[in-house]
Amino acid sequence: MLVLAGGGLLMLLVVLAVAAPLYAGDPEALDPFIRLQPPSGEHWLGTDNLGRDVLARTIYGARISLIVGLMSAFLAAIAGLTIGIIAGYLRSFDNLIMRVMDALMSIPTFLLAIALISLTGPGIGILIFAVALPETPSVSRLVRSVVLSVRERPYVQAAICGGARLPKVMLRHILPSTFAALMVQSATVCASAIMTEAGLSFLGVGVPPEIPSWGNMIASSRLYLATAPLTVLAPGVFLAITVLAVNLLGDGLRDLFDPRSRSR
Amino acid sequence: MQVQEITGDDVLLDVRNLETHFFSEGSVTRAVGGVSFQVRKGETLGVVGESGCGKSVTSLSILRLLPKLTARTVGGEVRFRGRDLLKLSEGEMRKIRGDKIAMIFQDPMTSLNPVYTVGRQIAEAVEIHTGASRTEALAKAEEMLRLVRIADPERRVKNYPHEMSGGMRQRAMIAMALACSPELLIADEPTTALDVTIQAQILRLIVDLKERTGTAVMFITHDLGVVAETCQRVIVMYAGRIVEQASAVDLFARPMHPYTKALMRSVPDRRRGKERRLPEIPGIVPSLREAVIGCSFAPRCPRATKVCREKTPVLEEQGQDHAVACWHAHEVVSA
Repeated sequence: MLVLAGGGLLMLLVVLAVAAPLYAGDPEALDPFIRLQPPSGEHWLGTDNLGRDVLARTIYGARISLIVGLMSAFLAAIAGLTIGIIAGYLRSFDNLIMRVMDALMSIPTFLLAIALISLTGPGIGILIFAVALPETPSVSRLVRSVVLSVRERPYVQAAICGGARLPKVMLRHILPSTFAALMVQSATVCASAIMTEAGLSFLGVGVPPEIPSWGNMIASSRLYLATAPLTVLAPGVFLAITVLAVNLLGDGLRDLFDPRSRSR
Repeated sequence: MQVQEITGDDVLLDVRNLETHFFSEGSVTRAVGGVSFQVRKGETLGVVGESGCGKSVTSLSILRLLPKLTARTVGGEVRFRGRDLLKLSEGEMRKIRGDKIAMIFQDPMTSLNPVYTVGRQIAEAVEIHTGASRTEALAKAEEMLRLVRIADPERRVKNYPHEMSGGMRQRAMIAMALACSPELLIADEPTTALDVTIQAQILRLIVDLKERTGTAVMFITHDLGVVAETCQRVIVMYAGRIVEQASAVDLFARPMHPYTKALMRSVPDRRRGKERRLPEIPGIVPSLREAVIGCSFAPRCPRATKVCREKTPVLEEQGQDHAVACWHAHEVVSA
């Protein structure tokens, strides 16, 4: 049920964002004569301080949020999975790897992301990396804990007993058992990545200002909150809905993979 | 007289003075303390003893499957067809596992990977050791399922473990273990997790397959009934040592160690009548953390004397292929 609600909502947002050029207006078209206008037939959600269409910008903003959110979650999942499996299975690396992860975890997300972006200058690529990096330790910890319990299961012992090599044991018998936990965690990471991206853009270190993103829309319109509230509310509400959709999907996945947690 | 050594081509596995210790913060647990025994080609050797006596650790030591960080085989030799397994490289050892020596585990519910079909898991061992293609290996898996008498093997190879019953899964495990025609099959309590009727079927299957394939079987169990039904020779273990070793017939007719005798007495017997309480062995298994002085069974033994508490008895030949580690072995027999 939750999976359907969350997944459906997310799919809807993805379709809206992908199909934006087909129906939404130009998000970058300036018109100084119609600054900060209330909703009208032409501009459904009004215009911002430079006379740009709020609806068009909000919808194009979804592209950034979704791309950054999904890509960072994917990146963090792949990195965390690799690190977690190595740490969990090859115990001699465990201590070293996990202490590095602890160190990474102790650096505040925003600080780390801002530091990384200031090294290269703003851009989508570095933004995705900067959002994914601080999320990696939590994924790797989770994967490691799953690996630690799975490696002791008799079927893993049986595989080793059957003469299987280490990579085979890891890829065929341990890796699949981590997927359930990994998918649930990835959804959480995705939600938090979307929030981080919005935060970074709000601070002006995320996507370059000419690209519409919810974070920098809120940042540039916050001064006009009293006169044109929709300029802030529209991206804010979309941000909330997106994060909610991803979280619902994550909770739904958790229930699906672990039926025991449903009663709680 | 020391235990008579069987030599020649007859011996498949020759374990000498095997010692395995577990290490945990500051303490050493002597799980297996100097065990020597042989498995001859094609025979079934029973290894009996209560929980924690070192039966399973012995078998894991043979296959070198002990947890690396906590356990180590500190002494002895494990000669398999003349080669000391303890000296082989990990790569050479891998070639032996599953191919020459295979193992069946206790719990069929968890010994199969839930995410692959049973056929693929059997095929995996075949692919590793014979270099067969996937299709050939799957055909072999089907043939093995037929051999272990699983009905409808064409369909069952495509089943996932959860689609099978416990007895069927244990049959599948046996199929997996025998897929590469090993020379030695180690069965670690293969029937403990199954209910009684299925137990009998599985036992019969193992005995039957053993006879057909000529595989030697090392049967680890705590069930004397199983031993009586399946084994030619028996080793009785107590606190990490072998206390008695004999042919099955001889052991049941003439148990010489007080522990063996006590074990047999604590098997329920229909003829004994309802009113009599089942005898138990008083006391508990000694901690393996402290070095044992004297006979480790002495604190629980009704016949223990001064010598038992001071000197550790060694396994000595007491008759035709019957060895026992007890200072009072002859009194036990005559009692």
